[in-house]
Amino acid sequence: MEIDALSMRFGGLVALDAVSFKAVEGAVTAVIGPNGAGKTTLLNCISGMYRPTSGQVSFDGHNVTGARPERVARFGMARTFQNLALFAGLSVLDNIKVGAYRHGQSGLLEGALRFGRARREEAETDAAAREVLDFLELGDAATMLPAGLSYGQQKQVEFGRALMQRARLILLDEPMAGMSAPEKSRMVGLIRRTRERFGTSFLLVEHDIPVIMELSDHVVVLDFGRKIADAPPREVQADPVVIAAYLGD
Amino acid sequence: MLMQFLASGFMLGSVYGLVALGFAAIYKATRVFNFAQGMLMATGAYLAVTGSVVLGLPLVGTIAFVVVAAGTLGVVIQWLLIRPLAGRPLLAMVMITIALSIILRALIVIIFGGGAQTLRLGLPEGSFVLGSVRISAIHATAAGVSWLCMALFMVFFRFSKAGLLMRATADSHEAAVLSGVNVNRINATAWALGTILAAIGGVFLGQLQVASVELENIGLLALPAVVIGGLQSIPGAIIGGLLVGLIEQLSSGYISPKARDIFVYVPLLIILLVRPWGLFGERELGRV
Repeated sequence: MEIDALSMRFGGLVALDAVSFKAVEGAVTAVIGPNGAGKTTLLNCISGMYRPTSGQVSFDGHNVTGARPERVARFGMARTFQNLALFAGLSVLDNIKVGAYRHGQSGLLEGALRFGRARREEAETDAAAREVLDFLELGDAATMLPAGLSYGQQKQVEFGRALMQRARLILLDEPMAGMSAPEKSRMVGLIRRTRERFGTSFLLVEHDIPVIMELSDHVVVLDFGRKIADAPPREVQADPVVIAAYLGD
Repeated sequence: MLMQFLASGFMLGSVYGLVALGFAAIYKATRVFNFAQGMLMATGAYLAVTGSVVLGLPLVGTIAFVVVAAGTLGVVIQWLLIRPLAGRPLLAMVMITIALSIILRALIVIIFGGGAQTLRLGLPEGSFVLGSVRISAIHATAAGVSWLCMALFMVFFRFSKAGLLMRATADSHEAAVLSGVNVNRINATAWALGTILAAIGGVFLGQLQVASVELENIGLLALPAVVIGGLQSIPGAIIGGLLVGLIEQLSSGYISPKARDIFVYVPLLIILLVRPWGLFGERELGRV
């Protein structure tokens, strides 16, 4: 995925100012920066929640700038949210299955009459969702409602929904926020295992610096909507400009 | 007499349940309180008149015509009226549905005239006796088809892909948008299904009585039915419809035909006062 001179203005406020970088395939790219640096805005522009004021987002050779979220998703991009976006009234298994169905492609009639093909698809989806649950080590929770799970587990369910989309790039908005230390290490392990097994790329926004140092291949630093650094984690950590932005100058 | 009233109440109530289910499908997916549901039902009766009398189609052709035309109408309503108003206050949406019912009524009167039309689709007529109860064949067919449609809808809603997306969208519109569900398409599906269910109800009520715009009043019984059953509950809508049918037959049988309105709407008031989420709905908890 490539971001080229992406800008987003809300009235007079410049939330993103000509930000460019690349998220290399198969890599974990982290976006960090102080509060209000424009990290979530960036994710919203990439995933189609916002239409950027100018600039371009290309993914896998397609220009997806300003495309609606469900269209961006179809190109193979999935996303989790800073505040959980789960369906409280649906079972954990159904929550995951929604990921597979995001297109809503099969015709109404076909779905309603449950012809052979629709029914086979149904069985396949069910099996795939159970596989994802096992991968998350939440196999026992299939019929539970999300509220019955711990916060960290709910975040994993959301992650599982993204997996179910068979996405090649997953955008994670503060996946570790509000998690306990053991929950964090489970999440780190989950991201690693996903990458090894499916070759998925990740773009994550995160505050937890130790996690980022451990997990990411590449770090982009934003400050007041501008990119101030774009390098491997060790170099970023030593960069005086980054240190100044974090500590205030 | 009691058994007779209970039997006819159950059969009429099955049709009401079907119309109420259509209302609940629309409400659950799109949060639109559709005051046009009664008129959509009357429209179904006129679609059947169009199919059988105007186009001269046989029974099966007429049914297919009603289903396709009603589904299309639902999609057009969603696309033309509901979608552009998404996110507006509840009042605007309610006004739109009231305007829609008035426009539909005017269109029907312009096309078919204000008088009632007889609707005969060639379904079995006459009656048979079951124990101490006399049952008309049309009532029995209406109830049977209603239950079949309701069962199909439940299977669709519970087990199909589009059904899961509808449940997801109903559960959290926001989470559905965020997880990349094409919510507009889901809403259009809900409107298509809701309109089809209302239209099928209208086809039967048009035969039990006559096809007339006054069928709207009967169709609007879907509203107390869903409120009593619980706006959020699909089975509640069906049971609410059955209750309304039973209340109607018992009150008009033992007291007077007009008593129906009192005995249907008084429970509605009581439910709203003491159990606003309905008999089967789930109490909505405030967000913490």
